[in-house]
Amino acid sequence: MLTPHTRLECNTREVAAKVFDGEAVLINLSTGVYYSIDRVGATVWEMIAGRQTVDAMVDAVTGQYDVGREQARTDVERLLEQLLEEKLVSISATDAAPGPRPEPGGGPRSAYAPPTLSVYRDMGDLLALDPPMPGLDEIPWDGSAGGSRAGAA
Amino acid sequence: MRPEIGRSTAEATHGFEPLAAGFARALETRPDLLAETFCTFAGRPARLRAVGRDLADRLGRPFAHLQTDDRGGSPAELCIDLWDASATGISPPRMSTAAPETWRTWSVNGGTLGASVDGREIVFQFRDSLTCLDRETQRIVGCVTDSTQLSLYERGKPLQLLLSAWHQDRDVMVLHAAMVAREGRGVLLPGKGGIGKSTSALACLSGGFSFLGDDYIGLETRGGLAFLGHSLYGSTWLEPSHATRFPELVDWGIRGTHPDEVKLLVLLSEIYPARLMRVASIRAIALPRIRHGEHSCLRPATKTEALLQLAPSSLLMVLGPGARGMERLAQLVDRVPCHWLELGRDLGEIPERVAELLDRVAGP
Repeated sequence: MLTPHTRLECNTREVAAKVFDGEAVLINLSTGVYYSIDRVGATVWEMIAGRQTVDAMVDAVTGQYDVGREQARTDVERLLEQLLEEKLVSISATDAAPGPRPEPGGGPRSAYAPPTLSVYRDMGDLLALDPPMPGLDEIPWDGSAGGSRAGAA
Repeated sequence: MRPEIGRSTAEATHGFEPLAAGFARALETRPDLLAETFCTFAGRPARLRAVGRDLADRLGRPFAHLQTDDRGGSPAELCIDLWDASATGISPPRMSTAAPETWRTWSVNGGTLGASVDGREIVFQFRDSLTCLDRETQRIVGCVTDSTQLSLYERGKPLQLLLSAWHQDRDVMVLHAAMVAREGRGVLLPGKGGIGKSTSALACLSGGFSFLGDDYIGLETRGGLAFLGHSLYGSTWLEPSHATRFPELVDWGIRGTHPDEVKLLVLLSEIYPARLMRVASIRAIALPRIRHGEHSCLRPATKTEALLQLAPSSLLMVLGPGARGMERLAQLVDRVPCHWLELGRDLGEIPERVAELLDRVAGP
């Protein structure tokens, strides 16, 4: 259940994410499903990464975009529910301090469109899900001695 | 004897040492069958030794364009030692990766991938071959039961998983992409299977471009500003649909011996020896997509669109870079111009559009 004071955290163990030109690209490395979120959604994603509350996200959206508070809250919560359902984020169970709250832009507010999470499931066939395909980061190796015996027969 | 992985034995053995001992026995038994070649992988010197002439020929051909005349002049950063069990009479070791306290295993592409829990050794068994990378000594050792029975996968992209791991240990990220170049200036063609990477790369090769690969490219970043694409293999597979599009390649196609191998393997260095290139600077990214029309065209792509085409299939590859590769891919699409390459039915237009893209990019 989301409340105004809820904080979420990105599933950094399984999700690779990048915000680019105001849009976010997310890849769930465990399922092979990948996502893009448009401008308002990217703002929300950055605030999740900054450990801000739902209330703070709504503040940021209403500060940057031409939208009323109730509409913004409804849309932000709907997006957060989708992100939770896709296991891209989880509700934070820790009391770690949030990152700095973004400064209000001060300029004119941008035109608003409700955030949309686009979902792409076409890569799923690349993965055998049981067990998941390993990436090399799952086989860590301290290679500090690497090369010391290269060439030995 | 067929190698066995994942089956418990009374005394579990590690992956690398028994294979290294097997190679030493094969070499001692049949030194007359030793073939030694030198290559560069991502610009690093490497030595390939095979005990078994047919094995050396089959596995060496996809690397023909990477071979050098530098016979050990520079210390090898990778040594690959393989033997043919049927030619030498030396069977592969009976191995176990079943002990969970020392090994983890995954089913991958019809084979078994194993890793020692300390991450040092990575072993892959596929059909009748068993290979292991020791990441400390930077040495791959392996055995094939009978080189005449190798699958097209093993003949076309030998040691793909282990070489991918080795490259990434050298900070060369393996991308799921094709790449072609003209005068050393490269165009990366990324995307998932079936999107038109191979068609685009082969059309460009036919149209006079240099070819670096049609599915795997090593990405090396220089100072966060320059991006190099390294060739890994000089081979391609022709799907039945490709066979009609590229009739000049069909006569060179090698058919598989396994019923599920419907594609033809083509070793491009035998057809276009001067057009296979080891490395080129990545000057543009073209995102192929099939267009239902006669003509091919270029359209600007946003950086997000480029990242959506490039990142999923590259980061999700087996032994791929995982999440840590995202930042580097973002850096690449941020600094390199990105366009959609919309593919029409006239394949002859594809190299024209790719040349046009390179012409738009300033600088040498």
